[in-house]
Amino acid sequence: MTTNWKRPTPRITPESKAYWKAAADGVMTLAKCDNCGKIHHHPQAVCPFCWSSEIKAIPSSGAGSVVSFSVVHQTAVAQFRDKVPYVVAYVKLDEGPQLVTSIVNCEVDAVQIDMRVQVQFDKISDDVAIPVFAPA
Amino acid sequence: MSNLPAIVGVYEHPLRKAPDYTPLRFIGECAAGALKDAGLEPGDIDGLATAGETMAVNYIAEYLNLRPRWFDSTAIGGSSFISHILHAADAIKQGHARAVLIVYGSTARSSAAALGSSSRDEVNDPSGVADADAFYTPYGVNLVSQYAMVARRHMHQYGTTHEQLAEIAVTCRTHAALNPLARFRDPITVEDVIASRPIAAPLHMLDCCVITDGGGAVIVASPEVARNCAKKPVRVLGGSEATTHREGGQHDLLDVAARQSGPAAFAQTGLKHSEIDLCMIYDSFTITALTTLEGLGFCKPGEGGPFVEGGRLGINGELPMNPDGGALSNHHPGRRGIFLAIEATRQLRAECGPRQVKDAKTALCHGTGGYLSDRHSGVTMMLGA
Repeated sequence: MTTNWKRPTPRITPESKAYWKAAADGVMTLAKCDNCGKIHHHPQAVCPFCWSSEIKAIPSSGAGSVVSFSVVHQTAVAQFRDKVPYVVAYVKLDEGPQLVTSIVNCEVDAVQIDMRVQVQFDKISDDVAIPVFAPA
Repeated sequence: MSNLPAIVGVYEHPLRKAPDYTPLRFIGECAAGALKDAGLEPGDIDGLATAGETMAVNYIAEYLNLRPRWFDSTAIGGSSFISHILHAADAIKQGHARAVLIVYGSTARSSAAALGSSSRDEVNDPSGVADADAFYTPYGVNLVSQYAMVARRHMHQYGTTHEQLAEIAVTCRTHAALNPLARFRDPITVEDVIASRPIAAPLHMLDCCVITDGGGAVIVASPEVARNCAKKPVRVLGGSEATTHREGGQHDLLDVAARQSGPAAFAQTGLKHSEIDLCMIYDSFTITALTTLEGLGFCKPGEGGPFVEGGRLGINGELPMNPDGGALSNHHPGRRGIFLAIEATRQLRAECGPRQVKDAKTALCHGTGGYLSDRHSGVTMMLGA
């Protein structure tokens, strides 16, 4: 179950389009460089490590752990004002990269560092879904 | 060492709330104040630096009717002005300018800018390089929460307590009580910090900097110009800059930019930690100051909690920090960096009255700009009386 929050729509660029499209199809992807073999996130057309343009999207297991989190009690972001308190977190995916995300389907007081989480998708339009994470 | 460029004029605007001011008026009055402090004339200024938006240098040059032959608009958040001073000193050494005005003005408080709680504004990114912000906006992550994630991680990894973070806020408030211009001067306790309302837990309201209107200016000049200025010059001994970021998603949240700029600045100036008489540390949040002190090498990573206890950072402590009251209690119109250099200069001139750090000869300033836990900059600079 996802949150159905009216989340702000991210600005989608030629470099990020495939990522958001995959998310809309229910797949979390990461970017892998064919030259150096390293995996990065967010997706870039040029590898941040070796500057090669040989980048491919690979599916992620969507499984990871909470690295850190904050419980937001005050926000100036209109779409989130009636959502406080809510949790933002850094989640480290099992494939390596970590990302800022929301922790959902969990009481704010129950979130803990090292907690295992699994990706879910908040669909905000036909073309865009936002990867969020819930306790595994 | 008298052949080094020096800070010859400083001015911190006394107002903290000015609904009838524009940022440019602050800039103009601060430029005039620093010029008077230095005993210079507008025609002496041949360099200009500020951290405003696109083409800010052009607009400010027009407002002040300057025709600078050197300028710098490095805009890396709150640390920008420390960078400007280092850049200006190098430019002066190279002969590109003789007297550089570094200036800042903001009406953040009167315009009700939600400095810490608003979203990353990818939509208003004029340069098109902030595409990464799209990966934050759907989550309602704001600036406070990004710093809070560093605090939470530090607590988890090292056992740092909220009480220890609160010590930093209490120290700054104790100092602010001695500064008649400070925004908040009433004493607070560790318990008050913890009992204040949570903004982005684990950071509470009194862990967060104040929001003010205001402005400041610094004039850096060649040794030749400095010799004829009104006040004793404060030499720019050196420093270093750093930027850190997500490293493709592989970064350590506690790897603050100060860990790079701090050791580099000590190496460049040849100074030892024991030679620093006071430090001006950008305290946007309590956790910013704590991780910066660690990064600079005053204590080891993870030891910041115990380090800030016991009054060590007080005016009469082992390492006096932010005697003006800091961003936490004195002044924060959005980009505090310039005030770090202004207060350090006044301290090294021994003109600070009740909040004077005794026998202050060498000061360290460290600015942090951007989002701790994520992409941010750190600039370390040493000044000498």
